[in-house]
This record gives sequence, C-alpha cells and structure tokens, in this order.
Amino acid sequence: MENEISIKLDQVLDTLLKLRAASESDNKLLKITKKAILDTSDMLIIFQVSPKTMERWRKKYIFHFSKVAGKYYYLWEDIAPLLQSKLFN
Amino acid sequence: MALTIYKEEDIMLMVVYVLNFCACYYYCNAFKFAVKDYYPDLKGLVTTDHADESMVELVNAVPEDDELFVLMLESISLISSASEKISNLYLIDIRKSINDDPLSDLAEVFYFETSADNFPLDGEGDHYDDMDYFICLDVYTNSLVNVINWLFILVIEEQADTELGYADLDFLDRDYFHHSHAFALDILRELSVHLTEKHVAIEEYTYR
Repeated sequence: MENEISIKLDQVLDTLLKLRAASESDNKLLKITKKAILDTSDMLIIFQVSPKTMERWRKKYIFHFSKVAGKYYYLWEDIAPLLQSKLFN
Repeated sequence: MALTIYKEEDIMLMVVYVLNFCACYYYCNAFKFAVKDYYPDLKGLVTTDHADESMVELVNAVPEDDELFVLMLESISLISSASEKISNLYLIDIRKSINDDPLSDLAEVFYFETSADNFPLDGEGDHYDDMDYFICLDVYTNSLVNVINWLFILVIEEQADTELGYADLDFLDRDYFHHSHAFALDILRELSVHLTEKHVAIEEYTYR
C-alpha cells in the first residue's frame, strides 16, 4: 500500500516537473519571438538541436548568418524557410 | 577575413573554455565509438552529440585493454589536465563562469571553427561504419592539435582569424620566454606535442 502511494506521488511529482519545464521552455520561446536578431542559443531553443547540429547547418549554409565580434547572429527572415520546413515535416 | 579581437582579461578564461569544449566533445565522439563497439542496443536511442554524466560513465566502463579507447581517454585526460593547470595558474573557477557567460559562446564558436568533426550526428541515419568512423577520428584528432595551436596564437596575439582554417605553425617557433603568459604557453605547446603523438598513434592503430 505504502509502495503504491509512493509510486503515485512520484508520478505526480514527475508530471509537475514536466509541466514546469514545459512552461519555462514556453516562456523562453515567447521571449525569443520578441527579438529582432537571434543568437545561437536562441536557435538551439527554436530548433531543439545540439550546438554540433547548428554548426553543421552553418557549414552547409542552410541559412544566412552573420558573425559579429566572434559570435553568430541570425535574422528571422533568413531562418523562416527552414523553420517552415521543420514545422510541416 | 573575420579577425576577432579579445579583451586581454578574457583570454585565459577563453583558453580554459575552449579546452573544456575539446574534452567534452572528444568524450562525445568516444561515446559514439563506445555505442558502436560495446553498446549496440543503445544505437539510435541515446544522445551522443552532447555530454552528460551517464555518457562519461559508459565511456569509462569500456574494457581497459581496448587500445583505441586507451588512446582516446589519454588524449581527453591530457586536455583536461592542461585546462586544470591553466585554471589553477589564473585562479579560474569554470563552474562559476559557465552559465550564461557570453565568453562561453565565443569559445564554442572558436572550437567549432578550428576543429573538424565529421562524425555522424544523432538522428542523421548513422550506419556505424567502422572505416567512416576511423576516418572521422583521424581528421578530428588532427584538428584538435590545430585548436591548441590556435589557442597558442590567441594567447600571444590576443586576436585570431580562425576562419583561416589551419593555424600558422611558424608561431610555435617563436620565443615567448618573456611573454606574460609564458607558463600557459608552455602548457599549450606541450599539449600540442602530446596530442600530435596521440594522433599519430591513433592513425597507426586505425590503418593497421
């Protein structure tokens, strides 16, 4: 009986944690949508990919980007086609 | 040309960050080998593109008599030890600095531009081909020497145009005895030499 309660409590806690994580991630996304210029950490959140994947995309020039003071920046209009293709596939 | 000039006070922290990225991504690539050779059940199920604790544990659990893993883990250990030595020398606590530090982003860009990592990415339809993996490892370990050589240049010049690809090796022959970061430069030069030796050993193992 105690064991069952403990399992259920774990499940509730797990769900709560997932909900919190989802809401944090939504908040981050919401903040990003208000930005005019994106940086790489924004891109990782938008596309949910690893930094290695992002680097591979840059090397393949999948979208246009600019490098300013050693950091990469992206414009919404440049990533829109890729975003569209990811959303609809 | 995309010359990036760094603030003098950022240089050594940048070096430590880049060294940590080298160790971290090397672990990822070692893990790709571990999944291929020792944990086939995990193929396609685990993330190998960024490191976490379980990844490190699984890589370290590989049999100690596997020559290739010994070489890879020794290389990672050399990089980590250099990072630790420089951190101690400049009283850098990377754990305090890593979160949301813009310099960490710059260091990752520096790492990516100076290294060559062609290993298949997660979700890219990895066929776990032995020869492909060996070629990737050969290219990667050679490029890590390039990363260290670029760090050497960065410390001396406080600027780097990493988009040029391979570092100008003439720099390594320069006399830096009177340079304010002479000890750190010594550590980097030594690391470059040791990683070159490891690269040659990996190449010999690979094409045996």
